[in-house]
Amino acid sequence: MQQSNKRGGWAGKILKIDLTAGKVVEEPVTDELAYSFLGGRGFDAKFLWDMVRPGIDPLAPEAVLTLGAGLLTGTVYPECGRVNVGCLSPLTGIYGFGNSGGWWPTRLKAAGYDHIIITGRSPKPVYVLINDDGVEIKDAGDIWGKTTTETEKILRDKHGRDVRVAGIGPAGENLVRTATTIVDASYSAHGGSGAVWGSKNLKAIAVTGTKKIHIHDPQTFYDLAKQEIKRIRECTRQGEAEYKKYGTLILYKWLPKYVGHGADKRYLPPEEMDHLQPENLFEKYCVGYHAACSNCQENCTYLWEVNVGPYAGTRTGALRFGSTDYMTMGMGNANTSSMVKFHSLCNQYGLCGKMAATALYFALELYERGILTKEDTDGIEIKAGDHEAIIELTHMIALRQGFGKILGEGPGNMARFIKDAYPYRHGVYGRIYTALLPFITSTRGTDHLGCLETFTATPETRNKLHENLVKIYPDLGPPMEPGIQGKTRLMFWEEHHKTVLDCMGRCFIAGGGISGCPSIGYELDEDPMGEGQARLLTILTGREFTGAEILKAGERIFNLERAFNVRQGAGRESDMAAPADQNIQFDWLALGKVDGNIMRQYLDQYYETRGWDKDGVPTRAKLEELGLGYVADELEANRPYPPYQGPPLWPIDKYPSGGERTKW
Amino acid sequence: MFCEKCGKEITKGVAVCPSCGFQPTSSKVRLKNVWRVTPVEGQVPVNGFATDCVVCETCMHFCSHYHEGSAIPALSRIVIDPTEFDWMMHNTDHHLVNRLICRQCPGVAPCMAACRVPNAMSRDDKTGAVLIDDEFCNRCRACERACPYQALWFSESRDRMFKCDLCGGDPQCVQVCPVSCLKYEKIA
Repeated sequence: MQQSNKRGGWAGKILKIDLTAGKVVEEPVTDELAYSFLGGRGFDAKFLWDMVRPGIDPLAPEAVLTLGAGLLTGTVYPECGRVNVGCLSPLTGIYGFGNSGGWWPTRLKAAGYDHIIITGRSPKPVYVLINDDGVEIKDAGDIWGKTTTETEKILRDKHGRDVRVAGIGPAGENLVRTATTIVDASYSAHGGSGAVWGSKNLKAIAVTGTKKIHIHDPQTFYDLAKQEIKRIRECTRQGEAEYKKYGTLILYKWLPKYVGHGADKRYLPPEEMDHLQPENLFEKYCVGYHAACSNCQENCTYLWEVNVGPYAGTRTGALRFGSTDYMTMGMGNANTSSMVKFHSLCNQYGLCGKMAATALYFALELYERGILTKEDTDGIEIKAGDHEAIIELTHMIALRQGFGKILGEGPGNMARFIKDAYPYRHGVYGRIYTALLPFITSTRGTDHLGCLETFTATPETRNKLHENLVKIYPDLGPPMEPGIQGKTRLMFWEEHHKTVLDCMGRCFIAGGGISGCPSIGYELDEDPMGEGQARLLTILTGREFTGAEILKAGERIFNLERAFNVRQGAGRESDMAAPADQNIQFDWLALGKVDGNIMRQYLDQYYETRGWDKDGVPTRAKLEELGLGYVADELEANRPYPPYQGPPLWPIDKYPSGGERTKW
Repeated sequence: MFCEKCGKEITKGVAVCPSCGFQPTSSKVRLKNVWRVTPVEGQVPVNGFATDCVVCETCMHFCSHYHEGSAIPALSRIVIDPTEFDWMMHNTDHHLVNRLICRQCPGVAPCMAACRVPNAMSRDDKTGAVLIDDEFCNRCRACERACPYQALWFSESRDRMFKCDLCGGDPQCVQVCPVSCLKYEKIA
């Protein structure tokens, strides 16, 4: 314990809340946990592995919800105000995590906690208030059923202006599987976690605090933070300026053909794309300035208002490419005011825009194929470009009414309810469509954030990266090979790097994302081993870190997440993209067609590079090298696990439903 | 205000106490050479978003680290308080951000006039910033009530008043603001 007091960076305490008994326990962050798993996503992986038994219902009381601020969150280091939300996902049935920005994460650290672990189920709706006086579980009778903005407003009025709120909206209360955790009314974490909050009868967590975090060398750390701000401002990488101006909406310009690679048909005619260009969106709907996450220099989110048309009066924040691409480009909808409305509804109801829109997109595909008919969809005709149907169905998803009950089960689970739809399902583990090969090897199902940059980087960047990596991994193989092989060899590095960024609470935009302003403190190809990052952590924590050690931690966490999925039945068979996605035309990357055979080759290569066996299970040698011997023991003792079948679903009428339609 | 020597009530801003002839010390009344940090002028919240406040709280993080040794937004001397939730719910038509920071009022500042504790409040020689000396302050919070801008406040956990001291002439918030919506200026 004495050692822990001297350790910088971590707040040092984990808060365990058992809602069944209404009990709150504090536990110290041990050195072993801190140095092996860093924080944020790493702690999530460790706690979920330890506490979740395989095969349980993600919506049962024994399921676990974890929320954790990153290691650098709550410090003065810029662009690190993020929280990682982890659970056994009710959407996918495997490991589920999501990373969200906002002001809430820094308040969690200021309240003196690194992580919150929630178990059990409260007999009645509650919210949790954390402040300097302690932790209190309070009755949420008056906020249950309210939208996320109303909840934030009510709790801030009640408990003071420094209070920030993370919670769910009506969709989470209705156990919609595409519901998400909404942080500060505008920022969304993992699609699926919202239903876990709802199943625990937990509405929100309101946090404030004035606890000091120990920093080993505060002055040097402060200077480094200022230096980093300077670097971000002077960053002239390609796209940085546009990104700062438009946020992720710039992708409407950069990726006009991106959506729907798994689908046979693209619905939006190219000439309609003009409406979706960020300049046009900004001119029409952006009212004034943007709101940024805590301690951010990029400010990629704005506030939006629709003044005319059927959706007049819609006001929302943080409009994103990711939450709206499927319902506009995907579904042939060029009505941009419906896009703002859809985003607003997702924020207010606490829906994951990406997952809800993917479900709608899949419904459109099924409707076109004649598998869904008007009778199935309560008389709503789902056709390309019909924005009214999209908005109506979004209300129905959140309140679990009519056809919305089935849409709310998520894009993957829908196929289990609709007759004949199963062969047409997309992606892996019931998440989004597969648009790139690396999407399928993420630990949370099809995921566009796992590994994108290395795969799409120029050969020069990749060669440079390879040069640096081969110093640490001598048996990496030659740098460039035709096809996907050369890329696969470098991908695992990016996956570790991004895992570490999630542990730090660092934003991908700053840390190697679309804007290309990468890594903590340094450029990706110049410092791929993260020596700058190691120096920063040494100054913060007072313990000597090396770059290789930090990357190793990333690998440890990634392997633990994979082991969690293996326990849920994941393996080679379920890792393959659904048959409908096994014939992808990569026209925006000029990669040509990728079929099932290439995917199989890719998986073989990927498993081999990672040191996993043919079935995608981490080997004992690999796990022991990472200090995860206990994981190998458990896997060996209990394998084979029942194969992955998706999450256990409830009978469609057993879920709670209803609520008020939000007028915003 | 009250005469520092005899304690009788005197008119605000008067140079000499009519009862005892005492001249208020220059450290309290400052008419010249007063600096302040303030939101950049001409930024109407609805327009000109490129340089207006984005509620990123970077200033709050750097302020609290500079003064308290760790980033604790609740203990910052500048507070950015978003009202976007009201705006989204149509409670207000204009989306405003409350930015609470001391104006360092030239002349006799209301907080200093309200303070009856000798030596508790003074003006910084270099910047003219209103300073509170925790040694002398008796935590009566009269200054907090007197301030028309809610620009200083009491922290229960630290048991002292929090207000902007202009970082001794080198304000950190101005340096780190990503949209340059704060400026450091001489007002008198």
